[in-house]
Amino acid sequence: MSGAMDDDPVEARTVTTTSRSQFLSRGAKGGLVLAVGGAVLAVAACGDDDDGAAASTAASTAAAEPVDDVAIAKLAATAELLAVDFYGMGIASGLFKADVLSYMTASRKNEQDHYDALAEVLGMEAPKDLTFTYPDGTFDSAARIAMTGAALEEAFVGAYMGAVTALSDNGLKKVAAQIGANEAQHLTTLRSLAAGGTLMPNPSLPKVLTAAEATAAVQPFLA
Amino acid sequence: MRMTTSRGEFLSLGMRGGIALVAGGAVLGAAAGPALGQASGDVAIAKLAATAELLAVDVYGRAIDTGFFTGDVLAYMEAARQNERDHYDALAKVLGAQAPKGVTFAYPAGTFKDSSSIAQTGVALETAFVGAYLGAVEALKDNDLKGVAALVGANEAQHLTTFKRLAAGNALVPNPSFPASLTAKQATAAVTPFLA
Repeated sequence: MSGAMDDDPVEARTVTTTSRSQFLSRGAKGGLVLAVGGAVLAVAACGDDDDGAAASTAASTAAAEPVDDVAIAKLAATAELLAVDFYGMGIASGLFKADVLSYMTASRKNEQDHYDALAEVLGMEAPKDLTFTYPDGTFDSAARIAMTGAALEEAFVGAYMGAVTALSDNGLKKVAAQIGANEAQHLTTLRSLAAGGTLMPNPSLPKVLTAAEATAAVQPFLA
Repeated sequence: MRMTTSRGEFLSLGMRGGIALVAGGAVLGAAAGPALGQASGDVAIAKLAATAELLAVDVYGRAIDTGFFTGDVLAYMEAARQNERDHYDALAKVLGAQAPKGVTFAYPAGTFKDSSSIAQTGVALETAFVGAYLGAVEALKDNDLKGVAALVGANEAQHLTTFKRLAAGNALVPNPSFPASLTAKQATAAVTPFLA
């Protein structure tokens, strides 16, 4: 790895799409929930996904509200917007160079491609123009960016892995698995960057997040 | 070297559909899907995926034994081998007595001659593994097994990006946004160089 990583602070941005209480309520009810800053991304589903039920509603065992494939895709698209924003902030920090900068730029493109694919499925329902807020100091150093990115990517991977079994449509299951695999690649790279470039082992089976676990994982990001 | 399926049988499976992996003389065909029209598709996929995991364990073991890797890279390779063992164990648990065992493999000359050739071989194999598991997510019938295939595929994708990095002299290498999901024909082409 040849890209140097420097230290310079950058500004954070803020817009709240869902209140903290709404997030906690959803998290308690079931499914997978991602939250960063004031933005809340709930991939809430588990339940029935028999063949031929592609358009049906898959309700979480604990959730009061039914959540279908559209809801999962919509919230995954919101997560992708967050990821695009995060990588953009990381790149704009000026802390990454050479192959690391190229990797971060490519990763942002990965996330944009994921969003575009989900937005195509969602049509007019696709989330747009969201902004996010981050804890102070998130972009103060390359190490902080990498650590934050690893935490986010771990949540993304867990959410997509959960989506594979939660989604009803078989084609969407494969797309979720593909995106999850790509996010897993981002995760292992960010873990290495956070460790100063040292290769880091990975668990044999990535974690699938429950609502409670995802909530705990992203708690530091809540505004 | 022991063959688990003949080359002819492999090619037949590949033509009919599903996912196939080939390494050395050992043939790993995870053939399933509507084209096969077999109710036992999930078992066949799990059985052959387990064979692929045995191959992966063997590759990492041989790579470790070369002595080319040290420090964090060696530790990573040992952890990756454990990942593959864990995957095999999970699949073997599902398969019970049907789990493949004692399979051995052959490699093209020079595969383990230096760290670069090992990394390049790892890229080729892990690309096939990732594609095969992603294809399995779609092909499997059982929803829980789909979830397991996605999890194993994600871990193999992590191995893949690390092998790419090692093959590039420890430079980070970007990944495609959507890892390829291999058809039987594509998987066959990807692993043909490994056929004995």
